[in-house]
Amino acid sequence: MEEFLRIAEITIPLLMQGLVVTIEISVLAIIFSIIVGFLICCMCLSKNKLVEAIARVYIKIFRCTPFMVQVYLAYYGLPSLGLKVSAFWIGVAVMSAYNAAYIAVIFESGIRSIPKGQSEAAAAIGMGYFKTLFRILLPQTVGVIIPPLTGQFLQTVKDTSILSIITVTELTMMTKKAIGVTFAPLFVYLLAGALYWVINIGIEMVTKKIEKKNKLLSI
Amino acid sequence: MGTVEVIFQYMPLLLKGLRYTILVSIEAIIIALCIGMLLTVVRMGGNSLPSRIVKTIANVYISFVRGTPVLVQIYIIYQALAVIGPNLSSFTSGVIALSLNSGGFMAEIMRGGITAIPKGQIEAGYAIGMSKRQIWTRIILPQVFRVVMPQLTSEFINVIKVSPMLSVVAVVELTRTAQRLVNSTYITIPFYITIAIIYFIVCALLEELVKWQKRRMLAK
Repeated sequence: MEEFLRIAEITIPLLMQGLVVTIEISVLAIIFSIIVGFLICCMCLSKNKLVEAIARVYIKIFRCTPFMVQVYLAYYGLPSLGLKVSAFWIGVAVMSAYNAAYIAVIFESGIRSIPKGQSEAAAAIGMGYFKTLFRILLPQTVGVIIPPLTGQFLQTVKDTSILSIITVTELTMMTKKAIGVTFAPLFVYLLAGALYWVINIGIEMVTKKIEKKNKLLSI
Repeated sequence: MGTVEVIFQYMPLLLKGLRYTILVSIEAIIIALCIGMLLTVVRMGGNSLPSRIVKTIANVYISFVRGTPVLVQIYIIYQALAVIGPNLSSFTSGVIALSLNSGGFMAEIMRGGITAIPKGQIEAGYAIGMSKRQIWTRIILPQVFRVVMPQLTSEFINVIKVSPMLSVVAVVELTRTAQRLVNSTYITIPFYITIAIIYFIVCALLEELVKWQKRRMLAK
């Protein structure tokens, strides 16, 4: 027992450092991926066939290859293209690009779930594209897209662990560091797992609250 | 020698890696199916104290599997198995890690499928004197499988996309093979692009299968 306490004493400060980076990356990636995902969703809904095709290809490529391979490609590929940034920002970039593909699909299915007559009616009374989007379509999709969006955010937090392979000092990387000091791999990994678990349960609870609030508002 | 030729020269090795990726994924998905079924049956159990305890354990397990990164789970299983049975190969521990992970997701998929079955059918089963086991094997499971088949295939795609993470515990699947080749040939990006294309082909084909299954299900 004392042994575990000693290990925990060394481990927890390191894990907390990693946790902060994990949360930073997750938040940045979520914000960027919502923006990019929204743009791609708009491209998918576009009447121009070429624009739509580009968006579809983007989604297909990012959804049909493993995230880990994308991370490797970005880590080795971006610097050779002349983009010299830290591993942290490469992580954020690849994470946002990957998540955007999923979020675009979520947005798209949400918007497509609204009857077409509504956007036609909006056009008939002279509303522009963006006005229709922001005043008619998006407010109604909120209820539909929040559950899948939550799932995607949870996935984002979990996926940050993969960035440890490109030396981003997030939670998993710091776990390895702590193991290097304490030589107690199983215990430290379990601790790290518990931390991830706590974050995810937290996100789930928050979004459940938002969902409930949203339901009350719509009645 | 040009890069393309080098890649073609090593293609047989990459394809061997792909074979291991698919092998790991198929083994994992089959075990995961059993775990998922077990969890589902447990979670639909009665209200007696023992079954409530088992139910809680199942729920905590599913929550943990869904709430922690696969990479961390792979490390945990790898280290835990090293304590329990030091002679297991990394391939075996990889399969175990993936199937324990996928099993949790499988249980959720099946629960979704079961809620699609009207409760009246189960009651009718009891009314004509079927036992609990008969109800499971003759009424619930056949229908659930038909409904969740597309989702099971997408879970299989997920497992394939997760399998590169096994390279961190030295399972020589496609990604690990590529890493080794990168280390020995100093050609980095072309190899990663090649394996990305290979993964893309496999996953895109499976996605078409999912679409076909969905269409067939709707047609029925």
